[in-house]
Order: sequence, then structure tokens, then C-alpha cells
Amino acid sequence: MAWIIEALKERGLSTAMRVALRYMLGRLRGVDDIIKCALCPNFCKFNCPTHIASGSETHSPAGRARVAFFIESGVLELNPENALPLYTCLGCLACKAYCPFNFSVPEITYRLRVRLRQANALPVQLAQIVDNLSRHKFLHGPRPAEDRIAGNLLYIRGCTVRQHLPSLAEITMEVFKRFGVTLATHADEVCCGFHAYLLGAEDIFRDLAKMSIELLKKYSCAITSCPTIAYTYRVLYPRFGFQLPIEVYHVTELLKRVMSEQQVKLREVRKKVVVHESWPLSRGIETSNVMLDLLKSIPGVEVALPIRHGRYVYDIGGYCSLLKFVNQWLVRRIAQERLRELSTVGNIIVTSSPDATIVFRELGANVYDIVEVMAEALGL
Amino acid sequence: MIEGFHVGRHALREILVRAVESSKRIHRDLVKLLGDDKVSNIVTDLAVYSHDYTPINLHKILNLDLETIPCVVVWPESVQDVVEIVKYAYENHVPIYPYGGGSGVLRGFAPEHCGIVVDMKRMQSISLNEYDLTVAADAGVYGVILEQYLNYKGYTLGHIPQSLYESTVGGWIATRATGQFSTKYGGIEDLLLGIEVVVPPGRIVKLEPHPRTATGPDLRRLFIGSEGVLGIVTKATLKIAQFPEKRVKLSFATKTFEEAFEYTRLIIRRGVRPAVVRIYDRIETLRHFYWIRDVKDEPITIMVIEGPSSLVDAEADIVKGTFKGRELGEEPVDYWLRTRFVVKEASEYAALGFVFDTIEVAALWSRVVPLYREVIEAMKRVDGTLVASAHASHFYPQGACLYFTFGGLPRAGTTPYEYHRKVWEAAMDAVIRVGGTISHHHGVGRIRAPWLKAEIGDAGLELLQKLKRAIDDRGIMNPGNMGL
Ligand SMILES: Cc1cc2nc3c(=O)[nH]c(=O)nc-3n(C[C@H](O)[C@H](O)[C@H](O)COP(=O)(O)OP(=O)(O)OC[C@H]3O[C@@H](n4cnc5c(N)ncnc54)[C@H](O)[C@@H]3O)c2cc1C
Ligand code: SF4
Ligand code: SF4
Repeated sequence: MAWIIEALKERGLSTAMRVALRYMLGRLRGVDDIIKCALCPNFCKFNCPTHIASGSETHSPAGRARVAFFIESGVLELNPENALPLYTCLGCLACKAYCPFNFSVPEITYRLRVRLRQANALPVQLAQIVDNLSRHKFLHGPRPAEDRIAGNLLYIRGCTVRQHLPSLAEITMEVFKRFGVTLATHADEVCCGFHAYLLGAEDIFRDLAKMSIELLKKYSCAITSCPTIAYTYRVLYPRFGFQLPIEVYHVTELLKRVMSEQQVKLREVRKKVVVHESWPLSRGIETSNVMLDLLKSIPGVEVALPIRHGRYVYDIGGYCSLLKFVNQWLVRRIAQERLRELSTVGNIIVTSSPDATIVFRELGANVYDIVEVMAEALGL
Repeated sequence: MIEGFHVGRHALREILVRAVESSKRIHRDLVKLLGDDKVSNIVTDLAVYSHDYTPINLHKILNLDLETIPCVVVWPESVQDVVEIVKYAYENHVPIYPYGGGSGVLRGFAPEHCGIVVDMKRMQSISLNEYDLTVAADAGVYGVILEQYLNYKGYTLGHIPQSLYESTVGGWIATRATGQFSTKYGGIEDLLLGIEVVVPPGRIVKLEPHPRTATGPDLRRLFIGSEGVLGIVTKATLKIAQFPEKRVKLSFATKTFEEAFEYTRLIIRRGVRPAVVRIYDRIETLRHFYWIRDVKDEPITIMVIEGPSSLVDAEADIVKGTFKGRELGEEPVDYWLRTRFVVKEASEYAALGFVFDTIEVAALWSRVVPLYREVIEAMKRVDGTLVASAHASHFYPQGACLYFTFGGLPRAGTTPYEYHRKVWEAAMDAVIRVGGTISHHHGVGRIRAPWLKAEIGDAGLELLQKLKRAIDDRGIMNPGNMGL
């Protein structure tokens, strides 16, 4: 402000007063975050996966804020068609990584999404997700029938691993057994609520958070295969007033810990790999170096990073977003774009995101979960 | 609910409904030609593609005063798609509005008539030739993506506009853009070696990259700064440089703005080319360097010298020996490097009713200082102006670019648009009086069009109009832009 005051000195007292008053009043009332974002030159858009893959301004951060502003101001009706751009957002926080206001689109549009749901303006494709979450507490419909497995540490597999990648859960349990840790699974495991948050379904989100926390209370520690769960538990739950009763880690975090505590001899794994990180770990809870450290500790593994990595990672929108349910075409394009980038660095991809494993495999890529690589190093 | 901004709600809703209605046939035809993934006439897309980043547009958005709504948006994925679009538009007399990043600041993109917005951002391929030191990039590649890629490979384009994160290769060529490091690397016109453009009625003009060519008038140049009125740029081959081995950061305080110009002039004429030189006047020094003690009345100059180590050391010695200001060290430069892409103020101030904009012009050395004084005075004289300031940001042996900023609060009874227009009139008239050029790098657009004649003369404008008609005989390419 000093420069404005200095400039105003030349304009005389009455002008200075008028401006100062206008400024102060405006500031006191505050400018809505959606407006600020809608008026932004869209600095962060080049890192927004949905924008890069579609090329569309409507699928960019400021584009979404503009749509939100037009809905808020009554130009666009509160209907499912107009609301759609808000649900193609992955919630990946790539916008936040570059935003000078520290905004993220999912955060600044959250209240509007709550309102859209209250007004029954959800895109029709999402009605099924709401139903799944409220009736079955599970993203993919009825929960798979499972027996409870006892153990000394709760293993939260996540909806997508349970439904689409159960083999990963088995390998994970095997790997930890090698380190003397028996993982417990529980049929009461419910969806973390991230989708409910993206849907603006706060009631469902709160229910799921409460149920998840009840389950946690039965154990002394928990790990999860799903990066989104780690983020939702550790960041979103506290934001909505839920405190975690115990520590919840992503599998990579615990693996790193047990590896450093126990001097296990690893076999050589001759692989030149490129790493695909997931946003919840690299931006959400900022632990992307953990997977890198793990990979580097395996003899024979050569690790390369793509251009977009760490805090600036370009993640894909698989089951851990609403995009998979509203626009398959765009999910595919985002993943193709990421594969293009990864392939300029290496052909074997390692990730800690089950979601990415599924989507990349669907596209024919050679991809491993970090736990699978670890299993190979352990000779399993 | 956002209060107080509902002035044009019903009118805008009407315009949108009408646009969707009128677009049905064009939409159906284009879907047939390109497939439905590449074409949209849904209302959210039409609303979002209604404007570029021209600062006065922020008030138009806030007041829901957007009359420029297109009928269809298309996202071509290949040059063949672009050919199909141009052919269709030509045969059916439908206007085309090329769109890059939408970061243009002069309403170069303003879909005034029910037309086709051609967003180039699905054309994103990059191909590096390390041996020839060139890169071929599709028009839709964002600057930052290209630069990150080149850096990863050990190179730089050296073209770093402040809008690096939101502007595209095609947009740079179309607007004749330049970057913050231009004093060393040049503007886009110095980097462009080859180009591919689609022109009406749907033909591909392909000019291959060469280090130099003497094959008649250079048609590449025809499209640099053509602002979408002649054709659609689809690809370009650009010069690149090795990533600098060393960077030296210098900054100085001087007693006056004029003094800083004189030292810089002497440095540049000796053949030294710092990548960045920025001289801030008193107000802008306060704006950007308020955190430095004791510079209240002393304009600051910052410089970045980069390249091979020994060359950088030699250039830094000459700079230090010539620039007689008080040295302030690296910190001001580091601060600038950290904050140089951030434009927060525009979003905040517009929402509070303030009108801000920037005007970049240039002149020969002998006219730079008078130009600075005249334009500042002219802008200040407009009723409502609160702030008028400048910095110089691009330098040549023969002259420099001045980058003015003005801010004001329109008086009661004056719309933001009227106030904005008056300041532009005052500034442009002053530039013409002093003998500068009315634009250094943002281009003409619809905002500067009224002064184009004064800049290039009657005969010049007539020639430009004839050229336009010869290439675009049905006037489908961005009609109205540049006044053409
Ligand atoms: C915050 C900010 C900072 C800026 N800093 C700079 C700076 O440092 N230097 C500078 O030079 N400019 C700067 N600008 C202005 C702007 O970024 C440039 O003019 C840029 O070159 C525009 O590129 P774009 O891709 O965004 O084009 P757009 O805004 O999309 O389009 C600009 C014009 O070019 C036409 N066009 C776009 N793409 C094509 C194509 N492929 N073929 C034919 N015509 C096309 C459009 O129709 C329009 O007339 C800045 C703007 C902002 C908002
Ligand atoms: S999220 Fe931040 S940087 Fe991105 S468009 Fe919005 S305000 Fe701009
Ligand atoms: S959260 Fe991700 S997908 Fe959503 S706007 Fe931000 S960058 Fe784009």
C-alpha cells in the first residue's frame, strides 16, 4: 500500500480520503474467493490435469471459478449441466501449488457444491455414487463380503483396492509379514468420504468420517494402501472437526520405518523405473520422498523422475475422483498425457497409487505398485 | 450468494440462450466434420469463452456486461482439423476467433459475432533438435511447459513473458510478444525460424526453418503480430540456447530515473547484453521494493547477466564499471525472480471498483525520457486517476520500452469503461505526440485499433487492409480485430 499512499499524496487530501474509505470498506466486506479466482489470469492452469488433457478453459481452475461465479450471480441456472465442470475437478490441489492466494478450486467451490446438492443439481451420473455412499458406505456399490482378519495393526485397503485390486492387499499383507507385522482387516471398513466431500454431501461425509474413526478406535495404529485415504483422514477430517484417535500412515511410510529398524537383506531388482507420484502423498500430506527413498534402497533399481513431480506432480483422475463417473473420455486423456510424459523418461512405471496402477494397466502400460517391487526385492 | 453484482444477469442469460439457439446448425456441421469430442456449444463453455484477460474485462465480468458470446468452441487436434474448420467457416461465412491462452490484454480475442472459437490447446507436441539448437512446438503449447521441458533437457528458449504460465506459442507469435529476458535473447520475432499457418479458404502455408533466407519478402514476418486476422498459426520452429552456465544478479539505486537510463544506454551501446534490465520509477520502486530501507526517493534498477561463465564475468565488469549507482546487491533481484509471475492485485482491486491497466510503448533513446514524462502527466490529468507510474523493461542499442501502469476510481456518473477509455486516449495521444510507438509488445487488439492509423500512416493502413482482403477475402478471420 505504501506506493499507493505515496501516489495519492499528489492527489490531495479529499481524494486520498475517498480512496482510502472505498478501499477499507471493500476490504472489510471482503472480496469473495470465487471472484478473485474468476478474475485471475489462471496462473495455475498449465498444471491442472483436466485442463491440459481437454484443452478447455471451462475445465481450468479459473474457468471453474468463472462458472461458479456465473451460477452464484444467477446468470447460469443451478442445474446439473451447468454444475458439471465443478465435478470434473479431481480435487488434486495442483492449482494450489501455484496459486498466489493459496486457493484450491475444490476448497473455494465447496460451499457451492453443498448448495448444488441441496438443490438437487448434481449431474445424473453421480446419483449412483451418492446412493452407494449413503446406503453401502462403499464407493462401488455393496461392500464385498469378507471375513475379518485379526492382526496387530489395522490395514485400511480402500474401496478401490477391495473392489478392483485385491491382489495388492494380499501382497501388502505378505510384505509386512516378512517384517513381523500382521495386518488386520475389518469388514466394517467404509469409504473415507473423499467423494462425498467432492459431491458437497457433507452429511454423508460426516457419517463416513464418524464410522471410520470408530473403527480406528479399536486399534493402536493403522496403515492404508490408498493415498486419498491418507489425505482425507489426516487433512480433511481435522478440517471438519474430527480428530484421529490413532496415527494413520500410508503403507510407504510404515515400510520405510520397518526397513530402517530391521536390517533386511534385499535382492537385486534390475529395473530402470520412472516414478509416478500421487497428489495426496506429494501435495496433500507432503511425503513424496518416502517412495523415492524406498526405491533407492533396493539394490539394482535405477530411479528417474519425470518433469512434473513432487509438489508439482501431474496426477490422474481414476476412481479417487468423480471424473471417472462423469467423463471416461477425459480420464483416459489425462492418463494418456501422463503416460506420454513418463515414457520420455522410462518404460517401467512405479507408483504408490492403486488408482494409477489400474488406469495405467487399462492403457497397457507396464506399471508396478511400490509394494510389488518391494515384494520382488524380498523374494516373495 | 455474492451481493451487488447482478446488474446484467437477465441480459446475459438472454444472450447465452440466444447463442445456444443460433449455434445449432454450426454445431451440428462441425460435429459431423470433427467429431463431438472436439466441439461444444454448451452454455458454460460459451460463457467462459466470452473474453480474454484485458484488464477492463474484469469489470465486464463483475458487472455481467459480456456481450461477446461465441456460438461454438472447437478444439482441433491436428493441422488437418484446423483446415477443416477454416474451410467450413469460409464456405459458410462464419467468423473465426483463434484462442491461445486467453492472456491477451487488448481484446484481441473478443467473439463479437456468433462465431467459432478455435482453441488451439489440444495441439501440444514439442520436438527438440539438439544438434540444430531448435525446437518445434505446436501452437497450443503453454510457454511454461515448453520452458520446463527445455530446462529439463539443458536448454532455454529465453522467452519468458510475465504470462509464461498462461500464454501459448501461437499466441506469442500472433501478438508479437516478448519476454522479460529479451534484452539478451530477443523477442519472438528474433526466435522464430519456421512457421506453419492455415489461411482461408483452408490452405496450409508452411515455411521451413532456416538460419536465414533471402527468398523474397519474408512471409514468416507477415504472421508475426497478425493477431488472428490473417490465419491460424499451428506450429512454429524456434531458436533455443544452452541453459546458462552462470547468472550474475546486480541492482542499483540512482538519484533519478533519467540517470539510470543513461547508464543503461552506455552499457548496451558497448555491446553488453544483460538478459534482464528493469528500471523502476519512484512509485514503482516503492511498489515492488517497499521492504528495502532508504530507497524512498531513489529509483531502483535490477539486472540479470547470464550465459557462459567467462562472458558473464566480463559483462558484469563492464556493467559495474559503467553504472554509477549505489549497489544494492542480489536481494532485490532475487525478490523479483521470486515474484515476477504473480499478478494478484488485479483481481483484488477490480472487485473493489478500481480500474487498473498497463500500457507498454517504446521510443528511441532521444525520446525515452520525454515520453515517460508526457505519458505520466497525460494519464494523471484524467479525472479519476490515482496512480500513474512506469518501469523500463526491454532495451536495445537504439532505445527502450516503457511499461506504464495506471489505476483510478471513476468519478460518480462515469463508468469504468469511460474512465478506462479516457486514460488510453490521453496516453496514446501523448505517445504519438512525442514520436514513440504505441505498442512495444502487447499488440493492437480492439483497444489500440483507433490509433493504428496514426502509427503507420494512411498508406500503411491501406496496405494492411489490402493484405487482409487478399488473404482473407471473406473477412472471416477475427473480424474487427486491429480495426480490420
Ligand atoms: C499477467 C500478464 C502478463 C503478461 N506479460 C506479458 C509479457 O511479459 N510480454 C508479452 O509480450 N505479453 C504479455 N502479456 C500479454 C499476453 O500474455 C501476450 O499477448 C501473449 O502473447 C498472448 O498469448 P495467448 O496464447 O494467451 O493468446 P490469446 O490471448 O489467446 O490471443 C491473443 C491474440 O492472438 C490470437 N491468437 C492466439 N493464438 C493464435 C494462433 N494460434 N493463431 C493465430 N492467432 C492466434 C487471438 O485471436 C488474439 O487476437 C501478459 C498478459 C498477462 C495477463
Ligand atoms: S486457483 Fe489461484 S492461481 Fe489458480 S486461477 Fe484461481 S486464483 Fe488463479
Ligand atoms: S484441484 Fe486439480 S483438477 Fe481441480 S481445478 Fe485444481 S488442478 Fe484442476
